[in-house]
Amino acid sequence: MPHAVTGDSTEDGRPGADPRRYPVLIIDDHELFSTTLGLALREEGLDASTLEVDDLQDFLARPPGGPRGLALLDLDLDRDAEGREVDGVDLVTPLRMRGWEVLVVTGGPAQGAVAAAVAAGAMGYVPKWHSFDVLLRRVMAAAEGSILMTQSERQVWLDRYRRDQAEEQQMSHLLSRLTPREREVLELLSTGMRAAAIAEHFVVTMATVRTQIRSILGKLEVGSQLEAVALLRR
Amino acid sequence: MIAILALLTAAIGSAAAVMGPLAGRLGADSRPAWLGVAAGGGVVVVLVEGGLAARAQSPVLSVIALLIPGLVASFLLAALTVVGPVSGRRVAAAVFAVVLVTTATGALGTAFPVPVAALSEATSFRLSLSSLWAGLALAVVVTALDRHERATALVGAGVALLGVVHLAELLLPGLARHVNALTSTGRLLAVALVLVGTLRLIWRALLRIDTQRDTREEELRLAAMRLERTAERDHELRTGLAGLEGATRLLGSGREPGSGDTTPLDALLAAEIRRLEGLLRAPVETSHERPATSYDVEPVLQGLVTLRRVSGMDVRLEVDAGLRAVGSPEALAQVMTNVFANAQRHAPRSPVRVTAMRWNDRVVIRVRDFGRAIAPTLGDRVFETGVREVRAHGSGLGLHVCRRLLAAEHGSIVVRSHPQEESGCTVVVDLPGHRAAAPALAAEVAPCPMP
Repeated sequence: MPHAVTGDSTEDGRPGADPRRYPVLIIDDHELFSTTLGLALREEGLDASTLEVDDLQDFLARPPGGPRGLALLDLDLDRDAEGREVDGVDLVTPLRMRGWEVLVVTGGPAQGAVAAAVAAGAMGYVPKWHSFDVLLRRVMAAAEGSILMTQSERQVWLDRYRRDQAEEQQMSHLLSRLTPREREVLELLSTGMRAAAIAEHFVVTMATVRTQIRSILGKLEVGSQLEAVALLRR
Repeated sequence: MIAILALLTAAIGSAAAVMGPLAGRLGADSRPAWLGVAAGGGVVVVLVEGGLAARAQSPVLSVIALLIPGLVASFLLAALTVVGPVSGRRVAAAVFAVVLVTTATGALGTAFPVPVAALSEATSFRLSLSSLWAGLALAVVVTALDRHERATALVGAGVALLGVVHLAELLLPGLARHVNALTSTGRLLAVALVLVGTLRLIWRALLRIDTQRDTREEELRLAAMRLERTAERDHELRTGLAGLEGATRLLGSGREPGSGDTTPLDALLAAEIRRLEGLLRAPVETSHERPATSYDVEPVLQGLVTLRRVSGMDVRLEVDAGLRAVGSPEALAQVMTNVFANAQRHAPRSPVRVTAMRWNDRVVIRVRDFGRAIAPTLGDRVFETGVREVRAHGSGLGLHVCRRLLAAEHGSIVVRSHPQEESGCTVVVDLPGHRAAAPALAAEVAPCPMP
């Protein structure tokens, strides 16, 4: 979209931009959200611009030392123009290295990514489904340099992140016991496929798939398909 | 030798008698229970008769020897007439009744030795009882075979063989040594048949229970995943609503967006509302079991193209006449919406050409844009979904979802870049076609007039 303004625009010096407040850079693939928020922040006199997912690579390839400010980072970024999956969490560290404060937003129910982002140095978190006013107020507070997260809140997120890490390690250990075919079967199960459809997919009998599923449950040390799928999706 | 055979027969017979009710209970079928008890009786009669032979005249034993074939016959009658599952209480009551009746008749035998002796001397009476036994068991076999229940027929055949052996002993009272060996072997074979049949019934019932448990577990898994997807969708909708709220507030303030934003806010609003509508319309459930129906491709594409054109995209559409695809139009609409959104994102203001045609028995839809080319090596990976992807949260409906939706419809989606033309890419959606209503020749529909 042509409204995309890359990081340079922070130097444009918009009329009415308050020099005491950070410039805000919105990194979000949800067009309506980023456009609306950008407009609203500019109305409030902030220097707000949006950065498209496709331009992220260029932005991060630039040497550090450019303008800095507050980055509003969506954790549910989709893919860039080259089809690479972009994980918002991976962007926190490079942004921090360039001197940007990072405030993460997410529209999804999962909190694991937020914990990871906080561990990587994000200053705070705003859920997208809050009312627009709340969102706007928090972003403005952050742009004015307020601290959005108390030390104890941060600690809760960090604990959560450590727990997730331990679980992930445990999970990858369990998953490594599976044969490639069992792994495939588990992935298909987790997409919501029925055992009969999986049998059809691999051109094997239903009994074979059942045996594979039992073997998967045994290796993952869980009692039901539901638990096995939850383990993979966690 | 014969003693060993008799011992084996007694052991196997009692095992079969115990497992019969179990098989009946597991399989929700009363026949194995009655047949098992009958087989047990058929084995007991040998012991009684052996005792009778050893101790010459005993009124109690002879009356019991008379009674058992009668009891076996009544069990077989129950097997033939009682339908449906058998309750444990009923079997226990039957066994209790048997013990009671046996004791009573034993007492009767001691009280009136003379008529009992006369009755047990009457060979015709004993023959008719044993014939009834064999006949009823054969009837069980025939009805079971008629219903293709081979395991039950096997059990019935065992009981019938027991009856036949008993009959043979009555008909050949001389009991020469080789006949005795023959009858012992026959009995052993009979109880073995009963046991094998009963075990097969139990095995099959266990397999059935296993399958049922698997099915239930699968339903549970699918239900949980539907819930999870509903939760994701709710978040997505709430996020969308928050965005709409913000946008309408800005519109309400009456101030024009800054010069950097050339996309009119109302177009974005309209697109977002359509996206949310699409989210609500798309089925949350997994779409693997939807019945295969066919639909006209043209109206689906036409509707979407018109929507896009209204929001300012330069789109042209060509569809083969009478083109029908198998699957759900909602899935195609969802996929095409995503494809258009993607084209708009990656090739803004580029003209887009959509063609839909029949290719053998497939429907092929091409969406060509003239924006930036994607790296040829990356083409297909746009749609890849790995474990990471599965674990991604609230990802909304991206291209990987397109691929999943289409896979459920037995279709596919690929992206082709055009390196030689140095611009743009083509998304190719392939769907199963519907032959019936289609004319043989693919006639091209004229491009729709631009509004």
